[in-house]
Amino acid sequence: MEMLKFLAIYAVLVLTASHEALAVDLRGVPWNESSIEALRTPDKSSVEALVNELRNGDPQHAYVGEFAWVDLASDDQYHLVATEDLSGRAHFYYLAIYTRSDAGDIAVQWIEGDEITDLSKVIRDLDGDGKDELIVPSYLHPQGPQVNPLQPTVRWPKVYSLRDGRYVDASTEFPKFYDEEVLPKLENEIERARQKVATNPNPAIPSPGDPYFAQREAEARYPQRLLEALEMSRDQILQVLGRKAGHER
Amino acid sequence: MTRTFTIAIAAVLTICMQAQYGQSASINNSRLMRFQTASDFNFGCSAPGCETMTDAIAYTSDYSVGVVSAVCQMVDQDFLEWKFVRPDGSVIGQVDGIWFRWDAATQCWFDVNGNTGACGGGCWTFLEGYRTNCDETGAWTAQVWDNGSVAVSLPFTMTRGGPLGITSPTDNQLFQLTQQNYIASDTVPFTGTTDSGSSINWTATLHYLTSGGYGGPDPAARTFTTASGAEHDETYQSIGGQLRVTARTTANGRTLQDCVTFYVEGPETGIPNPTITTRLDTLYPQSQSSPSGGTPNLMTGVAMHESSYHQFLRPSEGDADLFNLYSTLGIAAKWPYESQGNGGRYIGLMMVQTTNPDAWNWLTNTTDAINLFSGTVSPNKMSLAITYENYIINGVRNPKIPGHIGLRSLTSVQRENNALVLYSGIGMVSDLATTLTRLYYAPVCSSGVVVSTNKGLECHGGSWNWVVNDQPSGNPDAVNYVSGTSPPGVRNQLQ
Repeated sequence: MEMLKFLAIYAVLVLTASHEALAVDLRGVPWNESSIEALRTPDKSSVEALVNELRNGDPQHAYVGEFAWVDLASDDQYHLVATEDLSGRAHFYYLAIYTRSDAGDIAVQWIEGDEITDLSKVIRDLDGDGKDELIVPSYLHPQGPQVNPLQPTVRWPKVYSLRDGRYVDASTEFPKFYDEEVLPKLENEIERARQKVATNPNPAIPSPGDPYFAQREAEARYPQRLLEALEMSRDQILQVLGRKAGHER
Repeated sequence: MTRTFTIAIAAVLTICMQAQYGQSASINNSRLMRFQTASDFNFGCSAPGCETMTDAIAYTSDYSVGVVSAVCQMVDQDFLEWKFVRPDGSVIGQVDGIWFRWDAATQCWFDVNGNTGACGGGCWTFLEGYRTNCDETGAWTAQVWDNGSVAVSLPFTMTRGGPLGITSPTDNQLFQLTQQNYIASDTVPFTGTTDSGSSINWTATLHYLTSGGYGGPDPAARTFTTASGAEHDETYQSIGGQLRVTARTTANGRTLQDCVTFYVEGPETGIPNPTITTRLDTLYPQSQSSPSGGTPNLMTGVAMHESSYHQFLRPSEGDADLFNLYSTLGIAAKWPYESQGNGGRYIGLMMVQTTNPDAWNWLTNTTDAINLFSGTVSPNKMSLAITYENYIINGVRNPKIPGHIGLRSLTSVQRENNALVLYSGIGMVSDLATTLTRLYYAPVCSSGVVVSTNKGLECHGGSWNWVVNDQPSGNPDAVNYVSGTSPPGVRNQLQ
């Protein structure tokens, strides 16, 4: 089932690249199996127009990064899942799940994340129950999302699960996902970052009079900051899983 | 008695074998040959396109290098392989290389496809080689392996020159954007020589995308012609990346080709902070929605927060390792500073959406950012902030959102703070009513009670005031973006 869904997502992405938008009333067409071919016809600009119609009078334009029509609960009801940017700078912090009722009303669930990209990695049925989980890269409050690579982000993937028609944070219920897919990679990154710090444990910090002070100071501190961010990401996951952070499991 | 066989292997090699009865050496009389064109290699050797390398010199413009060996006294299942070791240690022929196996029962050589056409006892002369055109310069070794051991090892030097050679630029040479206020490259001189005196036709093809594939499209290839030994200069403005250069000439009816790959990078010294500061302090106050009484150096704080004042950065400092130059050759070129976690979807000093000009031209990058904040983009963040402020004060008719009666207007600096939240894009939502609760400032009824009237919300017994919206129900992360202390927000990084 999961394979079929992602074939569908791929098909949408291909269609967006290769076909002119056709005049399909996305609000008027039922979002189910019978209409899925019609839903997949419009391109990203049409989807972006719909998304902005649904912003209920907000003059702030929402930009769509990726989108997919997905049967999230294996009930033949399709949802529009889109990554969105509101900064105008392609900062796709948001995952929006649009659901159309039989009466034609469209509701949106809005999930804030951090650099959400590649919907095929976001929408997955982790536990094989036929209902998709959403894996959303998230930042650690109150650090906030950092766009400056020299100020590395403490980023970790939250798992949202479908409950009564809405996605809720269910990260604690997916230790297998973290143990098998997230933590090993993170530990490797931490080790590499440690080795990098060890090669130059006391980097020279430029004097404030240096005309390139800001750049060089940030560059000098980057390896240590990266290590700290990675360790905080790991500790956050261990805390979510109820394990004592920083200790052997 | 002599028999000759020709077997085409793949697209690049041909085997010429001659049975020579009566010889006794296993592998001997090995020597190197160079071939100027594919025809010279595939269809026999005739000077000047095919020469024995008496000086062990091959040219990058040669089509291929081959090894001639006499092979005698084969044993059953004798397994011959040909491999060329490059200067960097990589091996042509390590995988899917040329090999032949001797089958004593049929007295035939068999190749990877099980084909033969070379049968008969006695001795065989092999001519085998690989395409080396435009490959690495330096010390090479051609090897013939027999049953897993090196039986013949012939060193040779690959150099530029001979019938056609590019003398400038050189392979992996870096040219920096140091001209025209750090947006144009130094002059790139193109020079080549031909021993025939023929002219040279050049093609220089530039490629750049971020590590995640953002940016583009690549500009059209540049083509030009030079006389042998003459220089032609090119510069690259608002673009950089990898340049693959091909030089072609025609001599004696043969078309020869040499190649180099070089790179255009950002300025290695960086763009001086005062230069960046001066530009930002000029652009923002001049932008159409910049408020009087605002913060003239506001954009310096944005640049510091977004990129630590970097338009370019080295892979060794955390940027992407484009073209694997750093990991494979240790060359730490300065590439446009990519956003993390998404392969450079946004870029440079102000971390705006990636385009080629925004990646390579810091003037464009800063202009685009300030246009988005307070300039030509409609609506820009400053005007949007004022619209939202008015919505909060006066309310909205559709959708119905009550105003706050008696709430004062924000100051210019306060409006900038709301606009910074919108520039950050942090903590935003999908509907207008909630968006109005996510700005830097939120209205509170101080010392009073909120009463809803048909004209809006009144603060009975007190007054409406703006407060910093840093409560969990507000937008604390965006407040930190504007005025946080650790990590420092925009306001705490003004230059």
